[in-house]
Amino acid sequence: MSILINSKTKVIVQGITGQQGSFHTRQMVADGTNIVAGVTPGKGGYLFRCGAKTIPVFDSIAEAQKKYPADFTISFVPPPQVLLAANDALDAGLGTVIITEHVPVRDAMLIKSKAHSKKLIVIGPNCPGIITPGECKIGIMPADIFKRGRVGVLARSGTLAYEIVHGLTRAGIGQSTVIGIGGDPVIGLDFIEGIKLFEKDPDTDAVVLIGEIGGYAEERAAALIARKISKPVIAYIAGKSAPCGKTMGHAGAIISGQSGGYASKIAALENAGVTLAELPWEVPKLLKKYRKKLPT
Amino acid sequence: MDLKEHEGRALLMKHGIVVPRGLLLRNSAFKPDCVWSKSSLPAFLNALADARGFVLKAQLFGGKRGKGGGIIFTDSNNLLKDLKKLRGKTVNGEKIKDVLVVEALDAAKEYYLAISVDRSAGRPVLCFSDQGGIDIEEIAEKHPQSVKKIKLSGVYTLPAKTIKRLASRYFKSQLLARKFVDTVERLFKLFRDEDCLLAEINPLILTTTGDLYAADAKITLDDNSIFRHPNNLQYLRRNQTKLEAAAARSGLAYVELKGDLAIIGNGAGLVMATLDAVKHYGAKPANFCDLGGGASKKMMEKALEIILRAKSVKAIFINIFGGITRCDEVARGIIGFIKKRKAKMLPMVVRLSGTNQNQGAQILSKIGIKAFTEFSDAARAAGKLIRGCQ
Repeated sequence: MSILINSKTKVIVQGITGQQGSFHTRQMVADGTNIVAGVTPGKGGYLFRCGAKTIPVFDSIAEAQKKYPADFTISFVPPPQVLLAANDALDAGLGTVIITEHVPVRDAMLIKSKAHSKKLIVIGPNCPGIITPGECKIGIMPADIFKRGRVGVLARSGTLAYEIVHGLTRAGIGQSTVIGIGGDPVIGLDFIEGIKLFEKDPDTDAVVLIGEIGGYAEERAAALIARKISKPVIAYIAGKSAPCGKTMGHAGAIISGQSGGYASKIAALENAGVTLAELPWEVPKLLKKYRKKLPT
Repeated sequence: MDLKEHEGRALLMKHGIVVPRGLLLRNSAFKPDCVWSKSSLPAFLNALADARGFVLKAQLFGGKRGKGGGIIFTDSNNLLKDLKKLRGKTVNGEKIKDVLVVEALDAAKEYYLAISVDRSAGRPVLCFSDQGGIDIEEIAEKHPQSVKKIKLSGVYTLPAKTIKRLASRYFKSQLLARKFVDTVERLFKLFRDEDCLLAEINPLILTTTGDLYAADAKITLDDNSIFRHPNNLQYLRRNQTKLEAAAARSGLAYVELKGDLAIIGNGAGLVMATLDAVKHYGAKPANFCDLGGGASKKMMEKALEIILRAKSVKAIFINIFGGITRCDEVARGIIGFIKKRKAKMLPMVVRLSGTNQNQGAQILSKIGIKAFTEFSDAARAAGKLIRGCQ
């Protein structure tokens, strides 16, 4: 039905008592996510109220894990605490979704390398999270624009993912799982890992890849798609008109020197047989063309 | 944050990397009859009586300053005369303010040494070439094999054996190889401890007397690491335009562009896509302006105020996809701004979709603005609108 998360996934919220953390915890519970505990150092023993539900708060993941074993954490802690919070989650054997923006690259590198050595999933930082529509949302996206279905979506940008998903949903095309992988230069789960997971997932028929200028993630994804991916991939890349040397909102969205430009990404994806949408609203149309050829 | 050479050089010195002797001349005390505030210059020249010559280096953010005339080789007799040549000069569009005077080195060979971030691997990567100097970019493009790239295994450790192998391959004498390893170790420590995105020495000069000198420094620090290095706040936002800095202070991500259609949206990706879409319909964006997530009425007002400070703007396109951002809040911001502003408002296209889109549309209809719900329709309308304004 999906990748990484489903209706059985149990989640711990890191930074549950903060402004962002508390707001989005209530949203996630309303959207059906099974949140079993919260963590805020110094606030252990507190009960977080969330409608009719109360969520116990602990000082650390290890303590929470003893009573309420979970699979994933979602982290809303401020940038200076992100590394500690991620280590806490990974040491307890949990995957983590890091929503926090403005995390130093050095900390992101340390988190990525730890996750790699422990074979655990990190999504983000600076991302909207992951959702399997109707089952589980570990993130901050508006759940009502999603629809259960068979298309996987991977995106570097949150709002652009919402825009395109909303278009898919209105066109009657549902999603298996949607992941906002994050807009920073160094992130955990990337296009490559995401596409591999969707390729293996029997309930995903096609993949939508929403990229942007900066770095080589799209080019690397193209190389993988050409060699190993049998499912159709539709891509939209933002930033065709972006100037060189300027950060376009996301820390990772910058064209510097010869790297990160629009043209090289488009060429690589085209060569790999990916169908390209020139404008975001073309994605549903392009997918529909494909769906006729797909076994249903 | 990009550092100028002399700031990067100060970091190299802090970490014990050998640099040529030098003096920074600042133009803060600039007067028509004196070149730079050079009170310490005579003492410096005295102390460097043994120098074989000097290099005057304009302190700029951009690269290729040598080819642009920002670097002059001179001697103690011609130094003042040559300094005057740099005064008030503009190199590659950047005006010279400060000049670094360093001793000229007798170079036997020039190397390139840098540590940067391999984004895909999420690890630091070390780059080295024995063909350093001003042509390294062309060399890297034409002969990529001449630049060695070593992905570092960890964020906190340098692969000692690999670095030693590299050193013994390029430096025949053991003493020199050891000096090179020491330089690499120190540069790595600098990269890690100062939160760099790039720490580059080009050229790393081997002198005829067998010494290694870092003859230039190009360092980029991570904007997000300021909480660990509060002093670096001084470097933030200084090569932004005035408008970009003002926007950043208000919490807006804003980039000035050359067109006449101002753009406001929520979320970096959506705003980038909006620029691309209006361009598709023949409009030229005047800016990139991202409200961020959950923008308030006040934020919307601020964004309008900022984008309209650019004189070239003739019309406005506001593209909102409401998730955490509420369309009614955005609409209230638009109305609030129009009420405050006495002068006639510029024509605008507004697209509101998602959370509270109907309430937002209703608010705007009171002042005669019909909000679009489709991105495609709105982009097309914005293209048409700007054609009517030209």
